[in-house]
Amino acid sequence: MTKVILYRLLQFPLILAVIYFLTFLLCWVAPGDPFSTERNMSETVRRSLQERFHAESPWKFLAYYPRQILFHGDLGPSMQQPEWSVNDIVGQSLPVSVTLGLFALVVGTVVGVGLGTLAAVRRGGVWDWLSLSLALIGISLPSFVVAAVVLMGAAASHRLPVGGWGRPVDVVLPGLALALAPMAYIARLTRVAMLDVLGADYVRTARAKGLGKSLVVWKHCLRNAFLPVLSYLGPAAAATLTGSFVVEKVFNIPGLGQHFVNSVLNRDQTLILGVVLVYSLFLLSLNLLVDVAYAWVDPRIEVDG
Amino acid sequence: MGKLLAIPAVMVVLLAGALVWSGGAAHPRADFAFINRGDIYTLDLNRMSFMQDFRLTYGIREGLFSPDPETLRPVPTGAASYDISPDKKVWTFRLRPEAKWSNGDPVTAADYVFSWRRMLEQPGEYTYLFYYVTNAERYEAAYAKRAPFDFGTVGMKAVDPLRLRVELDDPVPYLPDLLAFPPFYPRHERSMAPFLLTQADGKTIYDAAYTRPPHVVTNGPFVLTKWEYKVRLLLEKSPTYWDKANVRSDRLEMVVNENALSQFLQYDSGQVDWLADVKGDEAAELRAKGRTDLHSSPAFGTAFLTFLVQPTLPPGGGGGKNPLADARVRQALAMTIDKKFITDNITRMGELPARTYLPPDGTLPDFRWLPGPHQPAGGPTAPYAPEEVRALLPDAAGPAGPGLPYDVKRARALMADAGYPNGQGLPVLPILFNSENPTRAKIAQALKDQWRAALGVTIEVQQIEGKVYKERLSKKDYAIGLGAWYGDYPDASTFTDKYLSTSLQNDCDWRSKAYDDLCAAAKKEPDAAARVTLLSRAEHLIDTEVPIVPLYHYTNVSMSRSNVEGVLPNPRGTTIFKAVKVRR
Repeated sequence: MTKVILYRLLQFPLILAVIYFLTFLLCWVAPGDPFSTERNMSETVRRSLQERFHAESPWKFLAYYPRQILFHGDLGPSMQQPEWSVNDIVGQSLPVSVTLGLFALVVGTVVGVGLGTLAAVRRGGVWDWLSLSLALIGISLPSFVVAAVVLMGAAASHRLPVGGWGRPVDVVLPGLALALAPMAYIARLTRVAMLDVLGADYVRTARAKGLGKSLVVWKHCLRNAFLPVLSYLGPAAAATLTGSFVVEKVFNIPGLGQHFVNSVLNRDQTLILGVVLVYSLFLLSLNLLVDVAYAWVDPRIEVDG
Repeated sequence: MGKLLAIPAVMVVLLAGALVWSGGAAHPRADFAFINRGDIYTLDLNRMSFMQDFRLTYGIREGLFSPDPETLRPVPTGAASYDISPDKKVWTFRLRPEAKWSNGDPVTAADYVFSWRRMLEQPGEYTYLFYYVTNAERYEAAYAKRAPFDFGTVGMKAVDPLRLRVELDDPVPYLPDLLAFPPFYPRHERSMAPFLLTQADGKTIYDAAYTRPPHVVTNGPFVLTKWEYKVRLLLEKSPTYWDKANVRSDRLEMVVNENALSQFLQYDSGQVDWLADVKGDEAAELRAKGRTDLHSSPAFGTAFLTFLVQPTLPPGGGGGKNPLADARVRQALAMTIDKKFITDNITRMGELPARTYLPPDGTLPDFRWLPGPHQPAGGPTAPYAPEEVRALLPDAAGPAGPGLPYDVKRARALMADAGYPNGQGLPVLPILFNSENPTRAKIAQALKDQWRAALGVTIEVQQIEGKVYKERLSKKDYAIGLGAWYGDYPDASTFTDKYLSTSLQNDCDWRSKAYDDLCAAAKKEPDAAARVTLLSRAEHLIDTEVPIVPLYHYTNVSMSRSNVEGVLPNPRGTTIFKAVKVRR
């Protein structure tokens, strides 16, 4: 297992290098000038800015930035926000997005699994109906609608914060808005898996041996029913992280999601590359983590490279 | 089972850790909290160009002159007094001896020369404003090529610590207005030293991070004490400011919020006192609801159509012979736009339909507009004053007034004259605009309909991303575009310079010798009244030959409750924070 993890980790730099190069290629061929603002600028000004940012040619760019990243861990200055380096920007916004994403994921998993289990056990009952409705809403409503509805509710309550970031309470509403989609999906996954497991022979045996229903569900069934949820957590984490842009925008949260979109609109090449690298590293690590957790929960599963 | 429980447990622990990692401490509310037009793009004077950046800079820095909080006319602040030579080309400023930097150092003439020299050595968009100074342009070009050029010959000199001498090539009567504009503010060299970078070719530049607290040293009424990226900027009254007795608030906070709904909710819940700019649809909706805390002012800016007038169309304009090179076609298109329809139904913020390039908002009280070519016989022949133009604009269609009227019959005749009767033979022309501006999308559609109905002309609406739009316009790869211009300083040249043949901002590629000559004569003219007359004649050429078609004059819209003083909107969107006060 350790060998496999090491092998996977060794692949990271290669994958990241390919991602970096492809993203750079797309940045460079896309029309639009990173330095342009409201006025047209003189050749002298443009030249001076290009020199400052090592952006006179793709070669100069590639000769400078990758080396900086490798040897100094420096993602370079942002082309559009002159005061801030990409490290500054990522350093300030990544924690925000991670907190928000984790909150959504924890809430989504706990509530989703709980609802799914209840729905399967009380099949056809109120809980089943509730979980089905939640799934329908969560999967079909886009996050900008959910976020806006939640925000308007907060405004009407006159108590909850209407956007912004800084206090722990600020994570609750956007976190719930972001949690709805994975929650819905996880509830459905758990329900289906649980129904499968509930009909299995070993469950009937356990019940026949006189074990209580809740004990069987809790101890024997959930363990197996959780596996599909676990494998979904990797992509779900990815989706909540990358999909947080809309929620961040509506709630005015200074997360990484906005840079993911704005940097592209601004043609801020250094920021685009920095954010893409960070996201990629995150996704790679999450996938690895989920695979490891998978093997750990169910020893029958082998992680292979 | 323990293993299974471990997963949510680990997640919760991680979450708690993340909360600590990302959260800031709650902080007390500032005396005055506001949401700016957008987030700060930069506070580096060299690269600054957006209104929100200038707005904040007026709070933390000060030049030889500053806009008066009431009239916005320049009043000496960093300067105590000044002399002008008889030929009006040499200005000598005596600096205010009590003016201090936020670290206690005195503000000296060398600080101005240092800052202005930076504008030439590390040029930015407003470096061109320094070209009025003798040899400044040559020095900039030489420095860029690392060619030798003696800075001593450039017309900016510190005669002694409190005396600054500025030599100009031409008389510039509005120099105080320029000097009140942030690119002309001084900087504190010593505190910027850690940010000095030397490039491979030996040129020196400053990393813009010198503007961030705690390093930044400024000379204005407020000090920037905290800048949390994308969250907030905190300004505190400067203890070293020479006029601190007249600074009315102690702590200001600029809250960063770029989402219209959330902005409004923050304002409505009292978290902020002022929304500096309320845009488009939201503003129109609030206005319809009769909100009394919504304030508007005519703006020193105009929305217009820009035509590419060179003889052949580029690929992005459809290619082939360019019908827009013919002034008659442009005039016909201009005379069939129902501008009132646009301001009544699309923009809806009380904008005035425009007939002229320069806005009659009151910023230029001495400017006059010449009567248009279709002035009815017996009508007024004297040039129009700003208030006269304003009076006739709400119904902009009539024949009387400056510029061109709305006149479908005459427009059809012009099209026939130009060889396109009923629009026959005219290629399909694309109209280009940036997709992030929903108002422009509606205007383009309205124009398409209006022109088809009036002239039989077919237009293709093309909506593209902002950066690409900007590039296509500056590379002149378009046919018709939607554009806008706001004046930077209160002088007509901030508008007229844009359409000089040599101007970088001349997206039309309109080259009029008559226009260039009038502007050049105005530049040399020492008499203020004669100068304005020359510029009026130049402006008249734009209004009648229409390389651009003025559509409407903007309004500035903001929201503030009645207990907030000093933030009512004005034409130039300038806010003097020194005068801002919230009564609680």
